[in-house]
Amino acid sequence: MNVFSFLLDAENWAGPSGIWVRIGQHVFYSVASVLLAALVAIPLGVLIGHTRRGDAVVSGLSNAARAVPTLGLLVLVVTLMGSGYLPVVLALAVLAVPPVLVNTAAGFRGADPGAVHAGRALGMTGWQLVRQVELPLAVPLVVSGLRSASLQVVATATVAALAAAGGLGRFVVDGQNLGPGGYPQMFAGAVLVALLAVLVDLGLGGLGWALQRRTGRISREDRDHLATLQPGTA
Amino acid sequence: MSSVSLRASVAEDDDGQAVITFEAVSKTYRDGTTAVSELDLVLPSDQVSVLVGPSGCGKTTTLQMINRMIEPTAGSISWDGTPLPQIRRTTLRRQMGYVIQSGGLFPHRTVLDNICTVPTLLGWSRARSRSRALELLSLVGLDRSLAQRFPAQLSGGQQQRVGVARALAADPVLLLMDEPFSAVDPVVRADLQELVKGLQRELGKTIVMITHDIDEAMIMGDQVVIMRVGGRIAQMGTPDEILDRPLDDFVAGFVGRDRGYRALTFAPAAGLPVARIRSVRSAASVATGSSPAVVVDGEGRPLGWADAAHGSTLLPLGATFAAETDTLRAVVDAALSSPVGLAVAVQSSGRLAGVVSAADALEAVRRRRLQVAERHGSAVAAAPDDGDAPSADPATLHEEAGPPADPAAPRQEVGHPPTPSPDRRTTPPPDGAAPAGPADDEREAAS
Amino acid sequence: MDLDWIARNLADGQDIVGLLGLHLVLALTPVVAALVISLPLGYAVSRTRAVAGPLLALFGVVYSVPSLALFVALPLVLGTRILDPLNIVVALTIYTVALLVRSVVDGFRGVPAQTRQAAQAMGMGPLRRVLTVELPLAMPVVFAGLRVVTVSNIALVSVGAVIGLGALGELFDLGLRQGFYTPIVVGIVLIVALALLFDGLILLVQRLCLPWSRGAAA
Repeated sequence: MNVFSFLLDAENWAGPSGIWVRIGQHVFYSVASVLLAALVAIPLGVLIGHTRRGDAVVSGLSNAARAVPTLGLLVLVVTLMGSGYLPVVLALAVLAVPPVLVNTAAGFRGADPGAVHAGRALGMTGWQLVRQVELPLAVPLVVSGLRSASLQVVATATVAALAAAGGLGRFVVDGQNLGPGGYPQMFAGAVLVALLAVLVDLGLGGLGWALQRRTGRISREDRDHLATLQPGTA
Repeated sequence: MSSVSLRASVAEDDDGQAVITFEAVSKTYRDGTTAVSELDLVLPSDQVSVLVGPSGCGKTTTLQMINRMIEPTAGSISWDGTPLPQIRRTTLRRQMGYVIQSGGLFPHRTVLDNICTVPTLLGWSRARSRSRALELLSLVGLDRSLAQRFPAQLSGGQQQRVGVARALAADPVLLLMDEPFSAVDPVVRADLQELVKGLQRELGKTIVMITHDIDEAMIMGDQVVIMRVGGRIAQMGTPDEILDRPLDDFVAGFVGRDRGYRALTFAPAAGLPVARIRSVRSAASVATGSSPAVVVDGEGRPLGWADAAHGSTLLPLGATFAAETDTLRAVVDAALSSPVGLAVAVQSSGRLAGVVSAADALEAVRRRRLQVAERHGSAVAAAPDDGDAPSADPATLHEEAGPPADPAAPRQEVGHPPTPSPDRRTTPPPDGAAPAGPADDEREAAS
Repeated sequence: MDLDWIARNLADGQDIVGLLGLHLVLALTPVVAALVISLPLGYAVSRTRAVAGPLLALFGVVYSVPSLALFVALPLVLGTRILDPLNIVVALTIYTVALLVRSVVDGFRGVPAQTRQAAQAMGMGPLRRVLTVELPLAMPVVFAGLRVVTVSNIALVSVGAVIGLGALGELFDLGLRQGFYTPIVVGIVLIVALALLFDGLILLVQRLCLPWSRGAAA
């Protein structure tokens, strides 16, 4: 049995349940839910980081987020709301919030207190401080949060197939249902989703690296702190 | 403190035989930098040798070659005649105490276990190591109750004391100290310097120490080795010699512009006439027209000066000095920083001991300088800082150095051990009684 | 919530309790295996400059591969059946090593040069220095990493339910098929509770073993 047979068959790429469509669905789920999460988490993170309040809430949230089984959350939402795009995107967005929130808050809190103090002494308003002093330093961290969130979401979107939704996970579930002969299809799903994840990781990692070079470095302390806060992949 | 049991087991070299000898030692690192070049150095036994110099002068490399943390690229180092490479590294190191900045304590071990490190490596029994460690805790002036604490639970000064105790644990003949006191504040540093000097006198250890602080080198060293970048010796000698006769511009510059002032560090303050001074509890209670008085708190500790001219304002105290233990340099500093020109002396308890006038302090400085000049002959005239010194003619010097003119105020010669006099006790006199005037009047009040 | 369902399953002594035990085995075996692998590997990596960067970057990429992909692909490498629990154990071990090696490297690199030097200067041999000074000092960071991987492993095991082997995760599959949310909630609650329990246990062990590091962990 050639495990690549499914991938190599051109027929499997076209059509309404072909590989291209599944990739499109997967990317759509991921992008939509990360954007939704960012809309909520970035402003909240800026607020928490800038005011330097609510640290306990943030760190508690990130710990709890790691303990929550993503599959369970997704399945629960789908069971309660029915399958379809909206429940899946909502559930994925919930999972994407903690990493973005934690990193954003850390980034805006991590701005050099000396620089913030100097900015204040020069007569900057709170908003000006955020934009001109804290933002440039925080951007690489925010990107790093988006990266963790995206990885989390890409991985979990695979699981969405179990909840009768589309995406690359379909190949895994459908192949499983076919019995032993379905392995090439499962394998195709696994390879594609792994590739997608690695691409997202490298792409956003590279972006973060470029931004960090441009705006100065994150202190080692912050990075160590963050390394312990990153939620695991799914 | 049982100094007898702590005596080094190795026979003492009264003949001043060299312990550590460097012969044409060079160290070039892989990146091509030469840390030490062609170094010839003798570090005598039972003495404190201090290597001092700017960063990059190779002093750390030199120190670390002694316990083979670093191996020289050329030349040879021997210990009591035995070339170092013939001694196993770990064996060698277990015989040399090592103290570094912040103590370099093991954060995961208790104070007791830290001190027991080398005894344990040497295979001492647990009981013996423990009792030795407890003994050392007292020796370095720490309470035994600290034994079970972790280093993070100690202050910087306490950590450094534990570091010294740990280095002494297996009774090494030689103590290597790598910038041992650079991480503590000046007050604690002075205490630690005193501790190590005391231990050295008591235990007769050979100490090799490095520092970038020339003051510390001068205070600690019997022999001071000034090194320059590239690992060459700029000058070697006793602190006095180096301060009085810097060999070249580098040494003069490193020793500093105020080296004359610094030399006062070697003259004790004890022996200066300490005059009584009126003390009051509140600045407001100084009557118009009366002379300045020291304002003290309920414990008799000085708070500041009160002066009729300034009404009830508390004037700053300025620096104070410890009557029994401080140096002439501290007295001069106290006198110069006092708003009324009187240096305030305190007892070890912090209570007011009396005052020394600026004039007396400067007089002591003058006599100190003459002493030094006498010792080094004509060198004084040559030293630029002493440009206003009297002529180098020995006859003049002797005359100038003669006994004080005023027999009514017999002063002890500077450098003499202190003889506490009952007069020193400060019983705040009743208000208005025996007001001490400035300068000369005071000396009379004291005698 | 259908409390009857919970009662029935508990009384059976089969479903929930059995799944709980299996869940722990699948989640914790990789932690133990990875710790044994990561300590020497991490120490070796921390001593090298050239290898460390690329290797840690590679681990980063490995860590980004979704677990489901690894569960599916591993049978090909291991020659196991798709439903073999070994697939899950091996996959989680790979993730755990990828994350833990970084902690170990950080831990060893965080040992103050001064402390290392003091140990050397006091005449400790290299092996003794590593075991009695550097390793203990690296442990607070290792423990922090251990807590992260243990919690995420406990959550990750449930993903295996997609391919039919997820221990407590199978409750999610069950709930989904029957359109019945009680098993799903029970699964989530048990998994979160297990994760928090083991997080607390590891913290407790750390406090007991490293009394000096209270609050000092990274």
